[in-house]
Amino acid sequence: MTATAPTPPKPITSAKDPRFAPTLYAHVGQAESWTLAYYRQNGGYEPVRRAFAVGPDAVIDEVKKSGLRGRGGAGFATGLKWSFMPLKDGKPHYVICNADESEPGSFKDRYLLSEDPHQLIEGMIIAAYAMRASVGYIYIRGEYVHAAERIWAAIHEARTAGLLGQNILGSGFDFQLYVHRGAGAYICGEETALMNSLEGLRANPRLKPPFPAAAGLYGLPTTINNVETFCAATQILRYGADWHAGMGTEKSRGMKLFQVSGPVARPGVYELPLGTTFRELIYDWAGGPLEEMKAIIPGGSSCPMLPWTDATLDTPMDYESVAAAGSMLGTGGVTLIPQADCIVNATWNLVRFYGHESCGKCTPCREGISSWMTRMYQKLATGRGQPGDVQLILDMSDNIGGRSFCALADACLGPVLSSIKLFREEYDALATTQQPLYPARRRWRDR
Amino acid sequence: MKVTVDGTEIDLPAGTSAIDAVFSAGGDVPYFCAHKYLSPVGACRMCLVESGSPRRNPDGSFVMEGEGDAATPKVFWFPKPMASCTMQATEGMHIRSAKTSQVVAKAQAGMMEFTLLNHPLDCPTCDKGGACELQDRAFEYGYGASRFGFDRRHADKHYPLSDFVILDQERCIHCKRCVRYFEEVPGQEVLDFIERGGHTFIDTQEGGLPTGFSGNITDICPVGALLDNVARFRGRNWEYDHTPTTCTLCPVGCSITVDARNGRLERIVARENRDVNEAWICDAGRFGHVFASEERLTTPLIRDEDGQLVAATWDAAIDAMKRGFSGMRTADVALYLGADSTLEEGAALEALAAATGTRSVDHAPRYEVSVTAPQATLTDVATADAIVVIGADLGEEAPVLELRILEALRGGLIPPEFAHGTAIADLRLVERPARRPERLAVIGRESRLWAHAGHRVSADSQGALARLTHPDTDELRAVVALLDGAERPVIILGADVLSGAGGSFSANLTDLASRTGARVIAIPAAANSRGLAALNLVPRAGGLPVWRAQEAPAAFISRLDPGVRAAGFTVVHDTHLTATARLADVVLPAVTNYEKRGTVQNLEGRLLPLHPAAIQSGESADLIRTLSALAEALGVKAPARGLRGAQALLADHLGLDLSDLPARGALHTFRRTFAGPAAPHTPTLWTERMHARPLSWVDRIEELVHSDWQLPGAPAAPPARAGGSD
Repeated sequence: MTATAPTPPKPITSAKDPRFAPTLYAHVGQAESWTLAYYRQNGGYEPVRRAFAVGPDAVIDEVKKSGLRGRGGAGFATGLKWSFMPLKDGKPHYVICNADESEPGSFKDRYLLSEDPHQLIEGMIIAAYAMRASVGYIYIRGEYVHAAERIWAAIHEARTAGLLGQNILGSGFDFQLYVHRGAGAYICGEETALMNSLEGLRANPRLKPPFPAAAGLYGLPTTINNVETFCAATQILRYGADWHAGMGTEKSRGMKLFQVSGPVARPGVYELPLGTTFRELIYDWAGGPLEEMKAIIPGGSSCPMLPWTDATLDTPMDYESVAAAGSMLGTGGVTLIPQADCIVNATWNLVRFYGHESCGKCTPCREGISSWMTRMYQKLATGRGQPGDVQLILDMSDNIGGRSFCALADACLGPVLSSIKLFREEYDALATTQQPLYPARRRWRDR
Repeated sequence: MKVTVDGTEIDLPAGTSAIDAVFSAGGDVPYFCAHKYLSPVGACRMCLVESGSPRRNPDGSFVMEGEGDAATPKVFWFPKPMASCTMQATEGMHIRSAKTSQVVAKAQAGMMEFTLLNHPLDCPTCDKGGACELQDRAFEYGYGASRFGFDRRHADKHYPLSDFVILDQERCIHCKRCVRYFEEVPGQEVLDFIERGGHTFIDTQEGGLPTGFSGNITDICPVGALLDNVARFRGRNWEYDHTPTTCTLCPVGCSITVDARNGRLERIVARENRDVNEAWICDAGRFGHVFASEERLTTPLIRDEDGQLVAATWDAAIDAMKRGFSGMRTADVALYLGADSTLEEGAALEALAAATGTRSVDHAPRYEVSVTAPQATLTDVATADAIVVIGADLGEEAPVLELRILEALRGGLIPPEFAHGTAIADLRLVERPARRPERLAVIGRESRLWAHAGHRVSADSQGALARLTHPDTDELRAVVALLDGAERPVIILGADVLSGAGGSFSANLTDLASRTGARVIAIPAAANSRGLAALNLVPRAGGLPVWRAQEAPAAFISRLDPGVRAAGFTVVHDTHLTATARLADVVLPAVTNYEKRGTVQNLEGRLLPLHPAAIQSGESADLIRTLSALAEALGVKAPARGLRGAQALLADHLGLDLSDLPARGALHTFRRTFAGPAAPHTPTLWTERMHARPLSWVDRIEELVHSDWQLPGAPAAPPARAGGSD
């Protein structure tokens, strides 16, 4: 007890900080963690009681105060997004959970869905209560069969226990939750295409404005958030906005699930405070790379690659720092690209993915990405390159970038442009000598 | 709202899209997916422009740039080009099109390269060539060459979506106009994209497109992907003689362009008329023109010694008529004409009747009743907040009226008009608009419209008006409540009510209309029945109506097929050798309405001009010239020698000045109408015009294979072997 005002504690920016403890992933991997009984034993459905006690507006204020930003990739302030919902328009409102986790390199939501479904359900109840929504949908990627079954079971349990349905926990609040399984399209992760798909239409993105908060699902006010965002809302209501805001950097607060894939000792999902460095994630938690690396993709495949340098490794993983380094934090899906892999081949793999997933609505993506870019990479990577091909890819990219209807085409250009910028000599080698600097290797590594 | 386009400041109404701002300023932007009467989607990405807006300080004033008096609001440019068809122009916005921006010019050229990537460029064999938006825009805005060094997409080039519409999947540039058209205009969810990415193609459900309004997608397709099967491969666009005229198959009077080549009618396409048909026509109007080029009469026919009809000259025909009518009083010759004849033809016939003194004058089809309730226009229908349709099968009577009703159900948003025409992108229109079926009530027999109606009352149409005065069921009370609660109600009456309507009809209708404030459209029996009612073309006292033509001592029947001849000498004036013509003594060849100049009045009272298309029909003549010949044979003075003479008659009798009728037509109400007992009439536009379905190319080949067709000049088949099968 001192007489002077307490100095504000230094924010937590490392998982090695003794004040940090995982919350989102605290129960992943525990036996029976997906059951209501387990969840309740560990303090489950107390945050929603607190939300009901403080009232909906206070919930939104709490989330605003916590500094939570959307965890689906764009990083938009969640509390602000929630406050866009019209409050007294008398129309039904919808809350949608975007569980269509399809970005290559991202695999955080699937374990939240399958191992801790009640955390998500509780987060959605809290969000729906704050936004006066009466119906929620979990749009889950079709390939996540196991996760969908766990979610279904959890919803059934919650319904039976009176946690969903009429008059939840005696609060007078009604909320129903449904699961919708996708049919396998990356574009369904785009919020307006997701709503079209949910309505039974072809999953093409819609024109914005109107934004979903004004006219979303079935033309009614709707808010879409990522799985992790809802789960973080549960934790914010449990531990308080100040606890959440005590982690991370000034503009990127809280904890985040980071995923590491590629040749590292322990690939997987790690819950770390925002602002943790790539070095800590890769060396201290993921066990370090197994071979020499040349680049990393910091946040899912659509984010531009960063070179494997000390400067990159010491970059804090928060929205601003990664942007300053020339990329995006995205979903936090960190992918490592080994030195011995041909970058053109690796990028072709991503371009092929985006070309395959282009929805076909707008010209630059349908023709530029899906029809042309994929074939330019095929041509280069299969040894039929010609001088001028790289320049052509750059010029095409200039005609595609920023001209497409939604962000899918720009997402494809992330790896394309960054790989050409960083590894132009590999492209030029294929374009002039038709031989890759790094010949193809066996696909599977002996361990 | 002030907007600066390429340095020119213009004043625009709020809500204008950026693309319309550019066109208003006299500029140009290429576009494929936007369409005047469809929702903007921003899919083709051709209409990119650079744009920037001033920003406001927290106190509401603009952020300024420059010093003192020279300060102007600082324009904050968007970092990337924006699609102008989906962007709203705002106060103080600056827009740069390709004219002043290299960035935009390159973006558009690059986008054109993408658009042409998988397009087959088979312009030399494409029916759209010469009238193709893609062709024109590629020429104006493209690079002129492609850097795409791979195979293009290969897909079905002859994919029949229905008997009438053929899809070339290779040519499709995925603008989605056809998909949006079906969803937004006729309200049918029948087309959509299948597959995705570079494999995306258009397809329909099994069974093909529903007929009715399907042909419109061939007009709006910006490339040659959707083609009218009736006109396919019949000519190149620069070979056609394009004639803007009015369709007279039904009383809507849609604006059309008739395309003829080498004197043959090959194609009909819709022409924009904001007041009547917007940009749409029905399939009967588009495809049902085959009659105009098949089995036409090209010369007069007279009876030879054996009593057979043989071809003759007009002089011989006039001589034959002189002989036939000799010894008769001119007043004995009954005069009948079809009700799709023009006002000028009607005036000439009325004058001839006055000259001959005949009491037997009639036109058909027509209804006995005349409606005096306030007239609704088609725009009133499209903007109505309640519509009650009684006893009408619109598919057979007035198909495009159905589209205007559906327009009201989706909000009645008619795109605004600018100096450059109808708005190219009306941002109020949305994809998959919410419909308001509760605004529509239908009473009578079941028809296609029932699928869209919130109130459906299956009832006897004749009694419906009386029952609406004193509603006896909940259904009818709901209809009356709909009319009472509306601000702009419209009542539409069809043949089931109007044909053979009883004595209380007018009183009931007037009562209902005045009580509810409703405006009324009574669908006339034929294209110009409404106009001809202004002329005294009904039987005078003691005269014979057309359904008693067989009792007339002699008759002249123009473009009517009652199936009987007069007791004495009968002259028939028609385009084809109809059943009546086969019974006639003299048959005179007539022109169809595609080949006439004249004026008709449509169901809302709009006078619409007809212009003659360049169709070869031999010695056929319109009614005015034919009546001169008839007058010569009867020995009376010809009432009018030509169109101008007939128009002078209209000016004298009705005070109607048709000399400067605008192309869009003009509303006109005649002070007096003539009515009289009429035969029952059931309109059969669809059944009549759509019976001859065009064969698909597969059917054509199969037909050829299974026919006895032989190579011309080939030797006859060898004789059957002796002692063969028996």
